[in-house]
Amino acid sequence: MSARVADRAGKYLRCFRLGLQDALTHRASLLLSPLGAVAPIILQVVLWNRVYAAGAAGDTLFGFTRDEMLAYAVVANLLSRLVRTGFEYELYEDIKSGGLDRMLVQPIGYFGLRIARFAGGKLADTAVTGLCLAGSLVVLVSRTSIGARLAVLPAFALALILALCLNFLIFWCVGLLGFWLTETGFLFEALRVVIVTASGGIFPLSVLGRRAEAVLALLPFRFTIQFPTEVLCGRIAPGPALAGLALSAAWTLILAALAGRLWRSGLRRFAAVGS
Amino acid sequence: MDVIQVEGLTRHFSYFEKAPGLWGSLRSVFARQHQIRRAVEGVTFAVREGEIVAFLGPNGAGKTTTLKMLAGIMHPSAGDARVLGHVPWARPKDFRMRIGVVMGQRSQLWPDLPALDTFELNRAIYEIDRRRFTRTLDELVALFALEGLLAIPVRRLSLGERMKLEIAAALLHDPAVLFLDEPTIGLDLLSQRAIRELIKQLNERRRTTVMLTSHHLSDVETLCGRAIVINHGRIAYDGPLARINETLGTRKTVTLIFSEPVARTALQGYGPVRAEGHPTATSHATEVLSVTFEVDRTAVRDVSRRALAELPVADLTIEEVPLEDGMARLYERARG
Repeated sequence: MSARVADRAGKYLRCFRLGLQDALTHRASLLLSPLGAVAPIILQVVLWNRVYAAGAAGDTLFGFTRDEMLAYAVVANLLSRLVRTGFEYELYEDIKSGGLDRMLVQPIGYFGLRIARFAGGKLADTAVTGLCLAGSLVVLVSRTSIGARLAVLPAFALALILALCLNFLIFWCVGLLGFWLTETGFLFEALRVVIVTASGGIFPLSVLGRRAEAVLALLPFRFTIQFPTEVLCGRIAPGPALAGLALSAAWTLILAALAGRLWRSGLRRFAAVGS
Repeated sequence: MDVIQVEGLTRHFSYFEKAPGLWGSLRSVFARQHQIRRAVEGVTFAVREGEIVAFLGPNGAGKTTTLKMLAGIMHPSAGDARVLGHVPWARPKDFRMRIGVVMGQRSQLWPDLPALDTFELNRAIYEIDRRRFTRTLDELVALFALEGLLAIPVRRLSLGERMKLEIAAALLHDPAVLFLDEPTIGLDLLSQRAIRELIKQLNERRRTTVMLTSHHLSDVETLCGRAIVINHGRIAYDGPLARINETLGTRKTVTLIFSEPVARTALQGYGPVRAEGHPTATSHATEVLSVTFEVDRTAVRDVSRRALAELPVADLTIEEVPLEDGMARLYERARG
């Protein structure tokens, strides 16, 4: 590895470390992290149990048996937490209040800096969520009729990596809207809710009806939560799973291209208009 | 050697006008009146290596906009500039490696971490080797008296301490040109003085070229041999600070302290009164114990002679008009 590449990697590694150090200084947030991961799951499990109890035993609802729905609720909630970003607000603030100024004058790429900082800051929470996911799987396999097979794990791992990239890029693009929408910070919260719902992060997309599901199937969002969840829960056969992975990778490339375009054109506007 | 060259630099912004109130807000959703603001208009100057130049002007004069263009953050609408031989807004890596920027209200320090962590990040970002970093840091710690501050989370430090660390962070890579935008904003008098001293020593020891904007004229008087005054986007003055008043006109102040109260009516015809002192709180309507006139430089002798002859003068002082007044007049003149 040449010295130049090492220097470049060193910058982003240092950002990653600082992101991690920064997260570790927020002890209360770190300690409450498992609670934040578990509470919504408990709520959903209670809700779906009640919904299924109200119907005839063994019935499927929205194409899911009770066990499948419980597994979906648990895994989708944890995945939603795992892929969650949150930097879009920082990005928006950087653009709006001029924090971007001081980063632009430094010899480091803003995208790399943010991604490294974000990854470092998310490491601790990811470890907690990962543990919760592993624990949940053990419980689900032993207590329900869901049989998570080891064979799906490689496909799930790939789907998860693509989901992380895809979600990062989706919210990066959302954050970049700050270049044009400087007066509408609240829009991000609304967009976040819509995107999480369209990803299947709150309930399976089939709950929204066949037509909505068909429309959402054409968009990239479901690959961030619903698709990896269904892969892990064994609801997708190997053939469609492979096709899904390919589609997910294609969306990642498209979003990467879009993010690059938005950044370049946003930066031109920023340089022209200022903060 | 000129390290900063600016030729006809111009920056226009478009904005929209909105009538006040809810109705105005609703109307602006559908129809907006776009306007053009000429923030910087054909600014030309050059800065030599090792110079400290004050960039002065009232709020909205175009100081920060110009500084942003020179730091490469903003593109100009027209004109040209070279900083260290580079076009700033092209932001080549070599340019970014050799400039330092401190914006008084925008911190680069991570608030929840000790400043040393940000310094280490800057070491990586500016690819400073460990030995050079340690040497520079030691020098800055001694110069800025940072001992004991480096390990405390930045959020816990005072504004003055934070600003010292902010400037230190911008100096770790030993920039050839330093842009300081309001480095003493919000600081108490002692912190302001400390920051000024730092900038001065830095310039003396490293020959760093410094361009700073400030509203504190004491910053400027202490640090800068040269001031560029900008107003309404145009250069209103460029030259030695000490000559701003001279350029503006030939006025001085004559202060008289009387041995006994003098009727106000006796003070007519000497010139505009700038200040006066009264024997008691209630007597100011009729009598004064001291008075300061502003008079033309050529009339100082006559005014003094006449005052000494006609009034009970115990003490007489002749001074230059304060720099603040010169600046205020300069701002006014540019407006007109």
